[in-house]
Amino acid sequence: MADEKKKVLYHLSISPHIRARHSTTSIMGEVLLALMPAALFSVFYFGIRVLLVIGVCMASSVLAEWIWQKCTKQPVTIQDLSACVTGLLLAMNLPASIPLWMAAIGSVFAIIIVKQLFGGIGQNFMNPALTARCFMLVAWSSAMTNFTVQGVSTATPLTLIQTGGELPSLADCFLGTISGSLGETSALLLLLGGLYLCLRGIIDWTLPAVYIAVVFILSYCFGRDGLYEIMSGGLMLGAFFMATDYTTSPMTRKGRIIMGIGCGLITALIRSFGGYPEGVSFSILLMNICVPLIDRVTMPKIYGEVKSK
Amino acid sequence: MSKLMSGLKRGIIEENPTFVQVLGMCPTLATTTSAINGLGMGLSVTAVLICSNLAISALRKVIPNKIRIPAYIIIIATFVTVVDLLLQAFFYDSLYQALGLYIPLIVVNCIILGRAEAFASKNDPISSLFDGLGMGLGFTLALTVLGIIREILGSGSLFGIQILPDAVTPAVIMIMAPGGFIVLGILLALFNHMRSRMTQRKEL
Amino acid sequence: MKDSPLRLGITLFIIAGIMGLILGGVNAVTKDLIARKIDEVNRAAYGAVLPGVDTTSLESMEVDDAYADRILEIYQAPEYGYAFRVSTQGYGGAVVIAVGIDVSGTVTGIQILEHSETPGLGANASNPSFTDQFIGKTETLTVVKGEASANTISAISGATITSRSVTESVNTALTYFQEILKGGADNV
Repeated sequence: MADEKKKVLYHLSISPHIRARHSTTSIMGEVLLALMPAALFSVFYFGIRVLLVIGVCMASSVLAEWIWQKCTKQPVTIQDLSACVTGLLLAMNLPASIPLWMAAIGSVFAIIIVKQLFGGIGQNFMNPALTARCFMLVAWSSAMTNFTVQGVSTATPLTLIQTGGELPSLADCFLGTISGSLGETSALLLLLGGLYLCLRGIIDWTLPAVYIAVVFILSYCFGRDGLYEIMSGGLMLGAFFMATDYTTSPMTRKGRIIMGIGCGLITALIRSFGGYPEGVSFSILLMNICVPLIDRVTMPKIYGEVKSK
Repeated sequence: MSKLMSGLKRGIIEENPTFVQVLGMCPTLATTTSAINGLGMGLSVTAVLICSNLAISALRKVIPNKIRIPAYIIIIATFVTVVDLLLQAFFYDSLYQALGLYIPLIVVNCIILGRAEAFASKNDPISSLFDGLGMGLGFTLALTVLGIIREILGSGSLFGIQILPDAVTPAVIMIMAPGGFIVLGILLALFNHMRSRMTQRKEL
Repeated sequence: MKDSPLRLGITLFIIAGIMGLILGGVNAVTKDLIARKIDEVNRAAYGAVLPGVDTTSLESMEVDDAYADRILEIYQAPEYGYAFRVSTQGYGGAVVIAVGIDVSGTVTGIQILEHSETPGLGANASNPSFTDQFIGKTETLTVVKGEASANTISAISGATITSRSVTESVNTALTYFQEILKGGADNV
């Protein structure tokens, strides 16, 4: 019934009667816009194949959601663009040389298993794109850790820190002319996109700021160059675009501070002492799982509520 | 004959140990990394189930109620050890190495003690035998299906024969714990969906 | 009294006794079969790393105490060589390998026996493309990222720790041969 377009003259509803201008579609549109600079840069820097990867991811996500909602006789919601955003975010977490069929399967996994099986938009308990990325990392470890630039296999800065070798300069990391997954290299463009979202009121600056600050400080504590650390790896992408996903982040400012600290701590620990060179995805996912607990602990007091003894 | 059919139907569909009763999850997840391992584990459990159900049912009037659990455990453990020794002697290279630690763990598989308590101690030996057979076959079916799926997706082979082309890299996660949970969850959902459709059609 | 502790105890005793008899019977029947099987599998592994050897001629040797924590077993094929069972810590646990060394001190082959390495990365150490590298080596080896040479081994991409562990085991076997066995072999 929801698919049919009905001409309605009046909507019956209770107050308040002021409607905000934004909708899921417009919010998702803003996110896509904010990611555009970094995405376009990756096409120029990594090669034209990037367009294929992004295209396959977005198309597979949308298709998967459409097919699922058709088969389970639910209203089709692909027009809210959330599947597009998931597809683009997953693509930005993949290396440029990833086989396209793997990217497609990853997108399907993100939409169907992480999002739809748990109840659709707003009901997932983990970030779909990030979970799919971790799934792909464990499933196809060599394909997922083969980072290439224009076809040439190049080590990422974080890997070089772990194995030893000449590190790219700080300026390179800031601009993005380094190796890594598609969307994570240009700290500058991601920062710009993130600031855009903050100014437009789409995301709250608390979580990304605390996350980045904690990684900055802890890196120095663990004997690494803090400024270099925050410009390399997936930190900018994760902090602004993935940790701030509405469904899987805390509802209160206090909660977001806690999540930021937790993410920062785990990221710094994995990078400094863990077996993997990069810890952003795992830290965000681990904190995603803690969010219900964080929300419970930081539940604001209802006006006039008296604590029952 | 009807006892056999009801035992089989109950064990394979209505009260499938894996998909309906959700018992014995540990060996289910651990040994289904390949089809042959799942099949082997399922058949081992079936053998133990049949023997223990038969023995416990035959002795049900003799075992005092107060010590029934220790008595059941002794009987089950004996049969598991017998299966273990036989596997070591005749299937050392293949099944024994693959199943390893999980063979002795059959003793604490909830299905066996569960059927002993729920059925064998209260019914005649023949029905108990068929019940053990049904439950065992249901378990074997579940494990084999799970093993087939995980092996194809995670190793690209089926019963050891490579079936995925070389260009398609298998998703290794499928033969690890997360893959096991995901496939089991999906199969559980599908099985129970089909079961409810079957009962709905019967009621019409 | 039907449920007196004595009665309960006796019943349990009888049940345990009967079950014990069954177990004893099955054990007696399978004991030799099993022992033969285990021996066969071991010999096959050692035969694989000493190509061409007659596996029935393999005799177990005592391991020198200084190496007992790393070298688990040594089998000698007279006038042919030695097969070592060596264990070194890998990435996910101990990696146990079989190393074959002939009387001239040359590695004739290795085989990974047990490991808990990552599937898709460290587990690829079992591939002949990695293990075949060790054939023909005589000196202490180091692991490098590039091409292998007379005394270097090319590491598995993404599994440096596993590669190092296996190489370490081979080095242990070679050192044992050089220090302890060679003297004896020279006297043969």
